[in-house]
Amino acid sequence: MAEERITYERAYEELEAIMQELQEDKISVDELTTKVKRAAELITFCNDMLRSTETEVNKIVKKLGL
Amino acid sequence: MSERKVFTLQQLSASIKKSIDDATGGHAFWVKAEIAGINSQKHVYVDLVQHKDGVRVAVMRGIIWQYRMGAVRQALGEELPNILKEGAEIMFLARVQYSALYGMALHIEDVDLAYSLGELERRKKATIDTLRAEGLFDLNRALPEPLVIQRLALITSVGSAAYADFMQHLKANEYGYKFHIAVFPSSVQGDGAPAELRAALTKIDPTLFDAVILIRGGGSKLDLEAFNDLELCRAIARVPIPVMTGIGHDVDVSVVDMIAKSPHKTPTAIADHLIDKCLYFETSLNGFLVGIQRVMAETFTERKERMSAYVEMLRQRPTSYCQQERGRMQTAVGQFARTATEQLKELGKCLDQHTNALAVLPMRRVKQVEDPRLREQRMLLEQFASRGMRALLDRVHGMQDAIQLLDPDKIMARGFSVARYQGEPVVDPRLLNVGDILETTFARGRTRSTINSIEPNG
Repeated sequence: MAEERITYERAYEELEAIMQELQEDKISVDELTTKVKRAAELITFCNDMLRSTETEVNKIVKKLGL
Repeated sequence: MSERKVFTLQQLSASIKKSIDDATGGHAFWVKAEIAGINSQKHVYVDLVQHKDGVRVAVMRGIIWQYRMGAVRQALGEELPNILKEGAEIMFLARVQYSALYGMALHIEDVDLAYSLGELERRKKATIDTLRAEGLFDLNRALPEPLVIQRLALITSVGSAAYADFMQHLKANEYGYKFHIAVFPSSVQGDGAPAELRAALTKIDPTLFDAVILIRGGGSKLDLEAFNDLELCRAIARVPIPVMTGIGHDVDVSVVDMIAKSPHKTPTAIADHLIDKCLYFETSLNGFLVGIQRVMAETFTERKERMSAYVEMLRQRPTSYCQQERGRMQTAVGQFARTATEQLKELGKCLDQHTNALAVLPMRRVKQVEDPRLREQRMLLEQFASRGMRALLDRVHGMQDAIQLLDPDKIMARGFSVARYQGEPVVDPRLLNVGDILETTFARGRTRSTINSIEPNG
């Protein structure tokens, strides 16, 4: 639970990092796919967290590995 | 031995009374004192006291007669219970009365509200100074505010309107955001409130929450005193997560409001702030989505073009190795195209979802903010237009009047006449000769006359 407090911040930072890498245009196709997949995952999870009950949030956090 | 002079008690009392009456002249005086005890029955009896360096230096009884209470109640209004209470320092108008039966008492006729409010300000300032000196004033305010505040430790009086409003407002948010709220009940006004609030604070495990929220439904100016309490302020300042207040007073700010990370006027304002934060965060996520989609689309086009170029190059070298490579390349192109298209489709879906969720936002803003503004501007324009129209009409009317004044008939009616020579109006008499026949037109007829002399101007 203590970890959850900074989940949104971590997700946001990770998204910023991914965005930066994508814009630098130095990643391979495979990497690109992985990064975009991860970004979509993070966004969806954040979105879900905003609208979930506390128990659901805990499950989401575990699944996301933040 | 001279004979003793003995007085009766009544005589002595009468003498004391006379001395006192002579000394005060029956006038009323403004006196300040602390209330050590108070007993409200039909009349209000107060034990007045003055301390100096912690030692009692004066004590006297005070009475507010029932017939005076109306005036006092009017002077103090809703603050009455906060001013006429044990421990309060008050300033009052009183007459000194001595009664043979009841002894000495101050008959209180009026109580000064401004003095009591001034005392409140003085105590407030003392609290602020102490907090600054202890380095506590900015402690909570310096904490960073999380991107999303979703897990709330709520301190309030359960069952109050403030509590109901807050919960309802959060629950009914139109975006469907969920807030996880743990309630820590405490009274929020009265003498016991600071201690209860501190006790509630100690029960909160800061690792489990994003913020502590302290709300109250409003009250009188002196009701705010609980939130100026030094011990409570110290405890609030030391809370390691942001404290948000909605103590519900428009004009005055308590010390707790000053040291809290996020002070708001009302509980509903806090709820709005929390919802807006979620909305802002979600909008930023949407921004990432749009950015990623753009980068993906760009990369997709660029790499597809590069691969097509390779394929073309290989096609021009018809060896078996090249054929093999060409096949592999084509497969790679196909694979990449599929992956990218899939990703784009998925992102697009995600984006659509967000766009739908966010579509309600501008509508709300338009309704809440733009509508009244537009209405105001329309009214202004209407006022402006009608004022302009009126000015224009005034000018047209003025011009009509002027034109009517210039009508030759009107001019002649006022005694002017037109002189003509051989049918032409005469302007310069130097062009005429003595003996010429002149025709003059008047408002009501004409004459013909012969010129006898000519006298040009200048």
